[in-house]
Amino acid sequence: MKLAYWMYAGPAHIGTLRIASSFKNVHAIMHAPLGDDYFNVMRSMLEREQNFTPVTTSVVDRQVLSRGSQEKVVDNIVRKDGEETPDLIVLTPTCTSSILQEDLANFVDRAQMDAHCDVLLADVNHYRYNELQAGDRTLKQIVEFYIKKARKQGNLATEKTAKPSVNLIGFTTLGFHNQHDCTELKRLMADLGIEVNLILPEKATVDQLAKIPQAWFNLCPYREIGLMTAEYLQEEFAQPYVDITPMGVVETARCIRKMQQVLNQQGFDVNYEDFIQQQTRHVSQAAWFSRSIDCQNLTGKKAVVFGDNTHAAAMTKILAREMGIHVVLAGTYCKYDADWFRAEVSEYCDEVLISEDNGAIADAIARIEPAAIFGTQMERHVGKRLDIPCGVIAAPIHIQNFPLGYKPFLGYEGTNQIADLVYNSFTLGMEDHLLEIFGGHDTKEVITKGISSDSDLGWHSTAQAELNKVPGFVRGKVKRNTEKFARERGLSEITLEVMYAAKEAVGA
Amino acid sequence: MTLTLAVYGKGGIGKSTTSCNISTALAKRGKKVLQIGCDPKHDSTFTLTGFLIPTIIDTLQEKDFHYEDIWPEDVIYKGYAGVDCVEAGGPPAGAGCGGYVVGETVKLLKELNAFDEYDVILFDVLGDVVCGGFAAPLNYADYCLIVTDNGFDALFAAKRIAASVREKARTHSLRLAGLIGNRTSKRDLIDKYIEAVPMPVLEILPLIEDIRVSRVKGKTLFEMAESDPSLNYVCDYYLNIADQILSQPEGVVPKDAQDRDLFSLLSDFYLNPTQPASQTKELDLMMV
Repeated sequence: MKLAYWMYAGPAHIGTLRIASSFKNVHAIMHAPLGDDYFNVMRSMLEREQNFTPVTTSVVDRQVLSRGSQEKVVDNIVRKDGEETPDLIVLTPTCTSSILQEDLANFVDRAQMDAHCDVLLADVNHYRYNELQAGDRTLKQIVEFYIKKARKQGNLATEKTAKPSVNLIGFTTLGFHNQHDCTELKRLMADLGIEVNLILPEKATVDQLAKIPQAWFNLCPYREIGLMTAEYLQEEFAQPYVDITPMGVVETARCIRKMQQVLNQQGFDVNYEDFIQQQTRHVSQAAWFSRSIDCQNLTGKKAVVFGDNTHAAAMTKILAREMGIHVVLAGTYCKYDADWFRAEVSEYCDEVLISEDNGAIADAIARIEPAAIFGTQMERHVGKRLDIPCGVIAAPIHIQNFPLGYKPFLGYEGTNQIADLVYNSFTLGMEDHLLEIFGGHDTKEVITKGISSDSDLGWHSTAQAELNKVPGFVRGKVKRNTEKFARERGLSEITLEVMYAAKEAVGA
Repeated sequence: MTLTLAVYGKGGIGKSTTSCNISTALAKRGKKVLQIGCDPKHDSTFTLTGFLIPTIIDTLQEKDFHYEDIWPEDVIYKGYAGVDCVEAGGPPAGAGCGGYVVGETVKLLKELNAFDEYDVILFDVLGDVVCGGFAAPLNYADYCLIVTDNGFDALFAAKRIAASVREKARTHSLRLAGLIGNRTSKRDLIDKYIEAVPMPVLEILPLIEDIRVSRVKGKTLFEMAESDPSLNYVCDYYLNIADQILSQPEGVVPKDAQDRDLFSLLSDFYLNPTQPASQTKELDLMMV
């Protein structure tokens, strides 16, 4: 089967819905045709939650197309207001329905007259922004709306808390290991003696948003979602923010030092150096493990990293600085924020790839033949086809990224998890030989397909038989090299002779 | 075989009036004609029926979109000279999707086998081809007719319609039958245009007050001529168009012209007028 289309980040309305359904007691209404409403399916399938996903579709059907929405959207908003009594209803179109160019702002205004809750139209251009950008915007829009509302009503909490406190911004439903990251950062804050004022948007209610200004600072662990909100709050209240992702030993320490600096600047004398030392040496296993003899195996091994900005950048740094792994290529699909990524990773890798084209990444992986890949679920597929192990470090997500066990990527426990992930991803020294000797699980037929699914090369049965004799752990490589050799010479079939010639050419 | 025509042109150029009179002319030539109004403002067939007939969308709404409950007589109304009339209708501006309605209308009529019963089907489509829906009639049409006048805007719009004919002609047996000059006492700019983009001119109608009056009265020129034989000469224009179409001309696939080139060509004409010679020639034509 050939994949017709693939995108790393979803369409804008998914971002908006992720924000809306992360909040507690917020309902989202989609103005959308049937089929655009798969968010509900996706969320209820992946997030293991008891409650229904608070998203309703106001279906764009043939009546709507032929006569306009008339009262439909307004009625649906008012109805959901009555049924669910949410604090806020967010209305969003989808890419498809935004083509109709209906005046949804007008529907929102009309619904606001009858609904008891607040009604907001997600202010996102659906053909300009993707899921991540839309999520960032919607969060900022909701925060701004409630800050202004609180200010108007005079209940904005501008007084700073007595003890240092933080808002953790950017944790969302369907985020990559977000729940676990959130728990880990709460623990970290407790260890640092910093109170968590609010977590946004996950499980927050909109009433709590008036309390945002009382935190001493904001922490945005993810580059993709939350930064716009933090920037707005800095502008509005001069509330500082820290945007260093605490992922890996080095960056976690840098993040903590930055928090210390922010607190010191506000007159709170604190020094976290001892804590960092203690954690790095004794709590995190990653630091000593990466120096252990086990990890020596990995030194200098080639790896390819690909993902969203946050995770791909952090992972590149961890592999290069903390584990001594040679990152040949680091890439991101966040094209809109490419400059930042380039600046972050350039010194830690040979090559930077900014692309939303899964084919380009697959081809790069096939060309580089790394010992391991750290990428998204897509790169995991690529790795399977090329017989290269892959650790998944970033969204697009999969049910596998919602583990029941505790698997954060951030903080000191995150360093352990990542060290495990890295170590276990690589095929270890004796593993392949043992499999070969004992005829282990390696019973699968040799796959004749290359990375491009329309491979035009045929393997002659004798060559195929010869290939089967090659030990499993190098078979993929032999196959690739032979096919490369044949393709370069324009041969359409690989016979035994071609195979030997290819072997000669490689000089093996 | 059914001959299918699609009439396009800039808004307000007189497409509906022209369409109704062509339909009548075709009926006078003994053809069974169906005229389909594809404009959400649903007044295309007013001149034929004398009243605003219920639209397909009205009917669908009434039957709660149960297509199986709809019969041809629910949506097809008899107009003057036995011309059958259908109005697609559509949502008010800024709501729903007018193009969807046009597409649905065509599909529904097809399901009702309405198309097989006519010698000629004429689609009267709104101003410009703005989206796939409004281009849908071109998928079924044998000929596209463009109504224009001697003005810059109408000819520039004609260019855009010609471009979509060109696009559709790749896969459909669609040809551009030609231009119809409406309210055109001078045709110098039209000539300039067809020099750049060669296409036939089917007929040039001068500015005739009675045509405007006929529209308001809800009568075709043919109906008015019944009581006022002095109008017969106007009917002849439409009969001429009908005859040309019934002869099934070869038509053209318009050649590709760059918007910008054409724009400067046409605007040049206004800004640098240099042909006093052609003036007299045009005057002759007006006398005909």
